[in-house]
Order: sequence, then C-alpha cells, then structure tokens
Amino acid sequence: MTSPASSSEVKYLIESSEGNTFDVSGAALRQSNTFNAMFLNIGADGPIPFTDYNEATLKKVFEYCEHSVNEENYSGPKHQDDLSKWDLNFFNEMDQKMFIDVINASNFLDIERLTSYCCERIARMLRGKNTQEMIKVITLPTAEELEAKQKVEEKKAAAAKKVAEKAAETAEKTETLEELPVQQLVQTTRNKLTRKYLSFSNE
Amino acid sequence: MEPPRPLKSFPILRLPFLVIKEVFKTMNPFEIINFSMISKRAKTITKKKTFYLEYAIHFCVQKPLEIKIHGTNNLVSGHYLMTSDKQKDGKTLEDERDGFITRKVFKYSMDSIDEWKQLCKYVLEIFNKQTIDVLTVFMDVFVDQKISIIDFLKTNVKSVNECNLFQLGENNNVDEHAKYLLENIKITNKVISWLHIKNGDFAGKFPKNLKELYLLHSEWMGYEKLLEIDSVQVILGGNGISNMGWNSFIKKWIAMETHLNLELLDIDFKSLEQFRALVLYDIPHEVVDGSVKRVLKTTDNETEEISGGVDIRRIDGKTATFVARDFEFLMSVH
Repeated sequence: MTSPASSSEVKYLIESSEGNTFDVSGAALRQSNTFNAMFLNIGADGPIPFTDYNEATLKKVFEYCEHSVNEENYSGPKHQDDLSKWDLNFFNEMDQKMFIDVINASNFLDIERLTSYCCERIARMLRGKNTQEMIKVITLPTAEELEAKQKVEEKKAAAAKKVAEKAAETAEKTETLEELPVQQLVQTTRNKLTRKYLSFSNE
Repeated sequence: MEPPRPLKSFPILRLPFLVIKEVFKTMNPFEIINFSMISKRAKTITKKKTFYLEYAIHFCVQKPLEIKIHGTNNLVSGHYLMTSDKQKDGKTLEDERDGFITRKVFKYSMDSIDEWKQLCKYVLEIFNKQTIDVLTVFMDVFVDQKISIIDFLKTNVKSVNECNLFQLGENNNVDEHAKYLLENIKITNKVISWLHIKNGDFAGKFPKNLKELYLLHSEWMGYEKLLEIDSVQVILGGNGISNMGWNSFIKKWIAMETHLNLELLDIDFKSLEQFRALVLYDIPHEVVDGSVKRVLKTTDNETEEISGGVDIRRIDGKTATFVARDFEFLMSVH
C-alpha cells in the first residue's frame, strides 16, 4: 500500500489514535513537511502512525490537503478575506475543540498553509482588543473570578487542614492505646497483681 | 460570501509555541502589549523576542508625553499618548498616509509623568530592549520634573541611538537641563539640536564618536567648543567662530590634531572666494576646475556629483573639498 511517493496516484495508509486506518493521496500528504522529511524518500512499510491525533481530526486535516492539491504553491500567509467559499465552509464547520485539534495536528504535520490560515483566524479574535477584552477571548478567568476561586481554595484548604488536624489527633490517641510500650504494659499488670497479692495476703 | 463565523473564545495560551508565534506575527504593538498584560504566562510568552518583528522604540518628552513603537521600515507605528482627560482614555486614532499607518492610543492618568515612566519600563521589558532608538525631548516642558525624567532615563535606558532636542520658546533658557541631559544620557549615533543655547561658554559636552551632529541654532558655538566635537558629520546652523578660528581649525585638521573622523562639515560661509581669502590665505590649497566632476559625500549620508571646489590635503593623504551650494557650504572629506 505504501511506497516512495513519486506520483500523486500513490495512496498511503494513515493510522489514527483509535488504531483506525484510512487512505490519503501522496499529493495531499506531500503538503506536510513532516511527512516529506520522514517518509517521502524512503516510503513506509505499513500504515503511517499519526497516533497522537484522532481519526476525525486527521481526516479534517487531510480533507484540506486533498482540496488544496491543485492550488498554486504556497507563498506566505493569505488574508482571511481572500478565502474561497470552500475554505470558509471548511473553517465554519469546525467547533472550538475540532479547531484546536486541527491546529495542533497541522502544526505537527507542518502544513504551512493550513496552520497559517488557522493562526490568522485566531489573530482576528484579538484584533483591536484591550487586555480585558482579550481575557474574555482567551477564556482566562477575570480578576474577580480568580479572587472567588482563591477564596474557595482557601476555604477548602482550611477545611482540609481541620480534617488533617482531627485525623492527627485521633491517630495520636489510638497510638497511645495501641502502641503503649510492652514493658510498660507488663509493669502495669505486675503492679496490679502485686496490689492484688498484697491485699490478699493482708486479708 | 459569508465570512468565517467568529470564534468567540479560544484558549490561545494552550497552543504550541510555534502556533502562538504565527499568531503574534500578525499582531500590532498595542495588541502585543495588551496581550502581555493578560497574565504572567502571557507576559512570559510575549517576551520571547523571536515572536514578532523587530520594533524601534521612541520615547518623547513633550506635551503630551508619548511612547512610539515603530514597525519595520516605519510602515506601521503605534503611539501611546498620555492624557489627563479621563474621557480620552483608551480612545484610538488611526491614520494612513502613503502606505504608512499610524495608530494612536490615549492613556489616562492623573500623574501622566509617572504613568509614562511605568509604561516606558514595561515597553522596554516586553520588547527586550535596554537601548532605545530615538529620544525626543522638549527641554522647556515639564521643567520642574526634567531632572527626574533624565534620571529615570539614565537608570532604565542603557543608550539612545538618536536624540532630538527641541525647545518651544526661543527665549527660554534651557542650558542647564541640556547640559544635564548630555552628561547623563548616553547617545551613540546622532544628535539633532534645535536648542537656543544662551551661554557662549555652554558647559554641556556632546557625545564622542557620533555619526551625525546637527546643531541648527549654533550661533553660540566657539572655536574651543568646535574642537571638542567628535562626529563623522557635523552640521552647524551658525557659529561664533572667527575667520582666524576657522584658519586654525583647518590647520589642525591638516595636521591630524582634530576631527579625525570627520567626513562632512556644513558651515555657513557664503562663497568659496570669500573662504579662500579670509580662511585659507596661508594654507596650501588647490582650486579644482569646474569641469572636473567628482562624487562626494553630502548631507543626509548621500553622495552627489560635484563640480569643481577647493581642495586641501591632510598629512595622511586624505583630501577635503570645500563646495559652496545654494544653502550650504560643505567640507567633504574623501
């Protein structure tokens, strides 16, 4: 199934994190600089394991690569306003999680065009925003939320401390009973017996 | 065509560094600084110098106080303007002329000088700078705080590549503060001064080993002060040096006793004939025929084809050509 890619007709098997395999054309794969560096010249003797990424993500990434096989060679970032209808649909279909997965996979596979479009899309979220507005965008907690969170954590810590103290106290008591030195126990018993004996003899 | 649906939020800081780097490349200086203020982690990431283009930093001590951050080839500039008008806080202005984009943001503070100092420090930190590219100072504004501002710059800025000195009122005496600035700020490349120095014995020392020194109101400049100058280019807008003084200066230059780095001197003589008669009278010189054309250094680091001139020769063989043109009288060394 796999051989050194000299023709776009060659298909490669890709293995995802689920262990599933699927076909990708050599032409699409060659948009990945990582693939070019690893397999282009030597080929692969079985499925190429991109097992850090799930099937859905890899299929999405290679869907992009398959689509842009016939586009002109990539020459630097392209503005989002220049995206084709197909490109727009491609990005619009993704939810946040898929978008993150696609960026990560695209970054690992070193697919310049896709990574660049994704980054431009992120940058647009920050454009013209002040720090407070950026905090909302990058989903960081606000100062108030941090304060509230800290209070909760402090409460939790205090509660945990109390529990720990109580546990330590209990443990100490148990220790007194359970781990009284044997010699002391013997002595105590002996004293009791002696007293008993003395009292008996006195009678 | 429907634009991409904007993602409302995105955990950018969780992305790989290489991806964040790509995002940074598309951000302007304001966005970079705003981003750095999000959190400690954002600040650490922002401080990685390779994440964005090299910016030129320009501090301006004027009203209003400004911090300018210039992008590559000055195509994009971001200006912070300090304001005491709360209504202006955060307001932005954008201007595009001939492909040059300038974005201005107003920053409100009751104590604009302190706010400016804090922001200067922050900008230096974020852009990993110990030196700044340009410092512009109006010597007769914030007069009472001038020493503390100079001290602040001395403490936080290792050196200044180019320093522009101005004054708003010609009659204001700025000699003392100008002297203090020259003593305490290390200027490495260029000084442009529009100051009206009042004292002929001005005690301020100009930096040594400069590339360019422009003194546009230098009528106060005397012979002794001229000898102190050490710059590749010297442009004097006037001087108080006598013909005898110039004669002595030329002799010292020929003997390699002064201005060894000099490549261009612009003074205010009217004509070559006058200069030959009053200054070069006892100095060997050669009048070059007007038909002889040579490419010589002129102002603004340019070279031009010059016809004729008067040549003198230094003891090491270097030649200086005096040329009189419309508004300048040049001594060009070659």
